[in-house]
Amino acid sequence: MSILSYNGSAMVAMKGDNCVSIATDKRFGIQGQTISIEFPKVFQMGPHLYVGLPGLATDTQTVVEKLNFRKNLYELKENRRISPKVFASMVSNLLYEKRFGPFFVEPVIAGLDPITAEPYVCNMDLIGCINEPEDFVVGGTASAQLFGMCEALWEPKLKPDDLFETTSQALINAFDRDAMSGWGATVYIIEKDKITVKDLKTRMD
Amino acid sequence: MTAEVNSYYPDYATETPKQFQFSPYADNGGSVVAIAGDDFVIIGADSRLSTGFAIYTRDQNKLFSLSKSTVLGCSGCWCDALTLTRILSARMQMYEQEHNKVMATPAVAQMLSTMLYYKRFFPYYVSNILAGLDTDGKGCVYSYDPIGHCEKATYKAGGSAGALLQPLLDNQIGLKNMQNVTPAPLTLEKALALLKDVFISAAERDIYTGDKVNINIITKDGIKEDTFELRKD
Amino acid sequence: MASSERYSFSLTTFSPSGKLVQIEYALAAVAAGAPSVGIKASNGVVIATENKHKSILYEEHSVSKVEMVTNHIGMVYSGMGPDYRLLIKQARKMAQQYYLVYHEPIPTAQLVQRVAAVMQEYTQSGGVRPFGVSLLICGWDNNRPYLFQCDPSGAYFAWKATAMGKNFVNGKTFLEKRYGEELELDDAVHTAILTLKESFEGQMTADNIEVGICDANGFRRLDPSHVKDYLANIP
Repeated sequence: MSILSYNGSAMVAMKGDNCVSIATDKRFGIQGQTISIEFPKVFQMGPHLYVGLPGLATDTQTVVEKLNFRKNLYELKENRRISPKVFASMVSNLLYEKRFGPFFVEPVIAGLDPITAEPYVCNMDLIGCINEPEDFVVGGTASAQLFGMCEALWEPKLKPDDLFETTSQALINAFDRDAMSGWGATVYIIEKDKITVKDLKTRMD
Repeated sequence: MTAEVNSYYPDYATETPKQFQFSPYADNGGSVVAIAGDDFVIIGADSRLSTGFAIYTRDQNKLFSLSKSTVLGCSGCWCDALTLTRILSARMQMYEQEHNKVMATPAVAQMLSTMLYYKRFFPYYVSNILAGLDTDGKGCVYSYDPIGHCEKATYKAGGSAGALLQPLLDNQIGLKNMQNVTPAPLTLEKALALLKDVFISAAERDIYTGDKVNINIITKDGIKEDTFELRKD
Repeated sequence: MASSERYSFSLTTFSPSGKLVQIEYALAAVAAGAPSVGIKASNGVVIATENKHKSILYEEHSVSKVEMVTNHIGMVYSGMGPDYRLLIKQARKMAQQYYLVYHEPIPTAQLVQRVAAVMQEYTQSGGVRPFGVSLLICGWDNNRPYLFQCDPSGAYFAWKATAMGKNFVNGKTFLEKRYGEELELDDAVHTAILTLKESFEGQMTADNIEVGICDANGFRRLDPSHVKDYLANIP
């Protein structure tokens, strides 16, 4: 079994009409045994920038620390907010530095450009190969299920409310069919002048 | 010198005994979806037969009509599927001749489970979904693992894109995680529309699913066949 | 170990009055160097310098002083040529390193900061001397022009227009009189050449000055025929 599926996780990010969403499950388990049901895997990196780190939980925590370090240095040095695209390159660069002894995380990034407010989502593999699609990205042990859900539910130009519903339904129904993830979910809807964070009630088995 | 060392020093290569491993199984991909209603059941399977990155054919029907009211959808190791269905048909014919009646869907379902478990230690590497009408004319779906575990359901997705499709069916037919909805009986039209939708989704992301969907619509009037084109890349 | 036991003092040390004379000598080397000017316009920025040859036997336009760092940043110097070559090499490398990490062109201000850090390092490190050059770095990003001067001490300044090298005081006085906020790039090139001409000894030709411009299309060095067109408009 891969180290990537040692702890279990499900994550999805979607583009909408002038908004983006990112959603995650909250389980932290050791293989089949659930340890915690309030484990953070999505982190705020800026007013309109979030990163999700599904994969090996210890690497989730280490990588978010390293990313904060690099992002803070960048923002102080350049005296400006980091854009999602640049942040993605930064994550990719960090991961590729460990090309032959990687961090076992497959990051998902969602955000709005600090200047143009353009929606941005991307994900990458554990050594930093970036994928920037026009619709949605998924990650974690429930990624196959998420692909099926998103491919059917997503449509262009979703308004924030519809984006929330689509993202939530995609995530919940996907992780209900994955034993390694679930146990509650958090959905972030990122708009230019509003961020909505909602905790979802889900089945707990 | 081992073979590994030899590859670094080709000039010093010597003949050494080589061991070959025969793999009795192949994965030929393919997805099957079945949805049951009160007085009908539909089953669909894509028509792509492949191995790894190669496609054997884009037009392989994976649905086997076993009787006028029972259809079996098979995906996985195609040679096993052929063998299994051949023996299954023979067993059904023997039943018909012994008992002078066509085997009912629940009986086929039970026999299939037994046949799969019979080969517990050298299984048929097949993902089976059986769809049919029971003796009351009600639609029913049975799904199996390769060694005969059988589960009765009203909808099921199996095969290479099973993981992609099942949560969508849970949501749209099982109405899972839906609030403020009253369960209404599933209509044939809705079931067909959904079947097509999920296959379109699967063909987007699963390279082993695509080309075409063969659909069997089973009602008390018999089996009606239909096809539906999918992306071919 | 031999290397760790060997002392390596900085050559740049304080004088009793609190001055770093090595840096003052470096600035003297700059002030003795060929003049260069830079002017920011509303739609771009120009840098220009003298490139006079001591003998007619020199192959003109074979070695240039105005150089591109990345697509949208260019550089020129007053002072010692070989020192400049090292800095341009480092600047180019830093620009590419930045792009490698962030997949975004380096902002001019960032490049200046990093080049300045290198120059500062050479005022404190052991066994080295400060650079004998001042740089003019021009760039275009954020939809606006940038012009910076970088000194041997590691200090850097953002200018609207400035002159360095021989006769820089006169050059600056001239620019103070001629500069206007609404200046366009073409006029700025004209003014830059006029500023050089102020202290130019002998006949100014397209073969003994160099001009580089930077605007929304990026940085480029003007070829001699283009410079000639500008010279034609100068009395």
